[in-house]
Amino acid sequence: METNHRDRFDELLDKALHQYGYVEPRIGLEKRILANMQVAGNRGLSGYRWLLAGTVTATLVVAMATGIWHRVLTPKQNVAAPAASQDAMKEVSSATIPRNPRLVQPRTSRRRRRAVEGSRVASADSPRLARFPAPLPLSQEELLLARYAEHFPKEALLVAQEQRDFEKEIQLAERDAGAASGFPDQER
Amino acid sequence: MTQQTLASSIGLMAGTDEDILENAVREHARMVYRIAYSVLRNHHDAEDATQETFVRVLRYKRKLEGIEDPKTWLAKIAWRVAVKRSRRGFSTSLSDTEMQTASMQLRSGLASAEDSVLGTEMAQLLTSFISVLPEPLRAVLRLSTVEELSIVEIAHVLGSSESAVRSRLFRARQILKEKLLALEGKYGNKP
Repeated sequence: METNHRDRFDELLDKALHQYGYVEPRIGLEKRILANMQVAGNRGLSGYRWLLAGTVTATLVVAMATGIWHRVLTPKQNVAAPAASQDAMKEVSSATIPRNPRLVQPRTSRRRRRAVEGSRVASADSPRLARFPAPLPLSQEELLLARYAEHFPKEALLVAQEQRDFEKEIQLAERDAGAASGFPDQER
Repeated sequence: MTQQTLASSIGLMAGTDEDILENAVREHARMVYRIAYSVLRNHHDAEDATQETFVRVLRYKRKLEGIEDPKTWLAKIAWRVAVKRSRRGFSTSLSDTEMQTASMQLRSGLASAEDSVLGTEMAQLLTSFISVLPEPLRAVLRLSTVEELSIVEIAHVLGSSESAVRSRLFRARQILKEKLLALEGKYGNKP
């Protein structure tokens, strides 16, 4: 009797578990899955496209930044300046840079001078220069002025003229002062 | 929509991969859905889990040809997806009246020789009993209710041995039977 009851329980449990696991999905599950997979695939593909586009853009930006940085660091000595700016540079240099080369040359020690002379002797075999004596390299101040004249030629020209006029006025004032004090030789 | 149209609608897989994937969907979508439902006990969540399973398969499309048993492989993925989705364990608490009704349904089920369908309360009761089983027993029992899966396949899905699956299934059934007997004893004498 007890065994029979147990068997009946087993059967009932089987039935209940079958009912527990038996479930039918809504109609069209396969179609929905395939459609979703298509969407997911396209999304994945567009993701790859965005990644590619991002990589290309980043590369371009890095290349441009490197180019700009390189240009900033490299001085433009060999670049031919336009005619107006060249004139301006001449004006600027004549107005601001003192003509006496002694004043320009920095004081150097004897050892240094000897070393320089030695190097000159050593480089005697080198080919002749196109211009003699070779021009001294521009100082930092002169370089800055040259760049300013290159970028703003008109303004540089005006500044140079102003400077020249100012120097003339000073010279005239000195002359007048000399004439007034009765020492005409001071002009010399 | 014909098979050819569906295959071309996927448009991503070329040649054999396309056919393999579509065949997998057509053959095993129902099994995947049932595995998901056995864990989640909700149609909406089960369908979401099924979709996620096949989207994961899409990611492995290059490896599809190397898979020897796609059915077990899919069942394994579906199981993992469903378990991951069921963050909190499904638990149903029935009121005293519902328990009484379930007991009546149980008794009528025992008395009847026909294959009658069990009532809602009885199904809920069984669900609540299963949900409080220890995890290894619960996993085996849930997968055993999916009619497409054999004991060997359940063992593959869970990464256990066949004998372990059999023994766990036996123990799970024993526990359920004891609980049902206790229920019958508790409410059986009430009018």
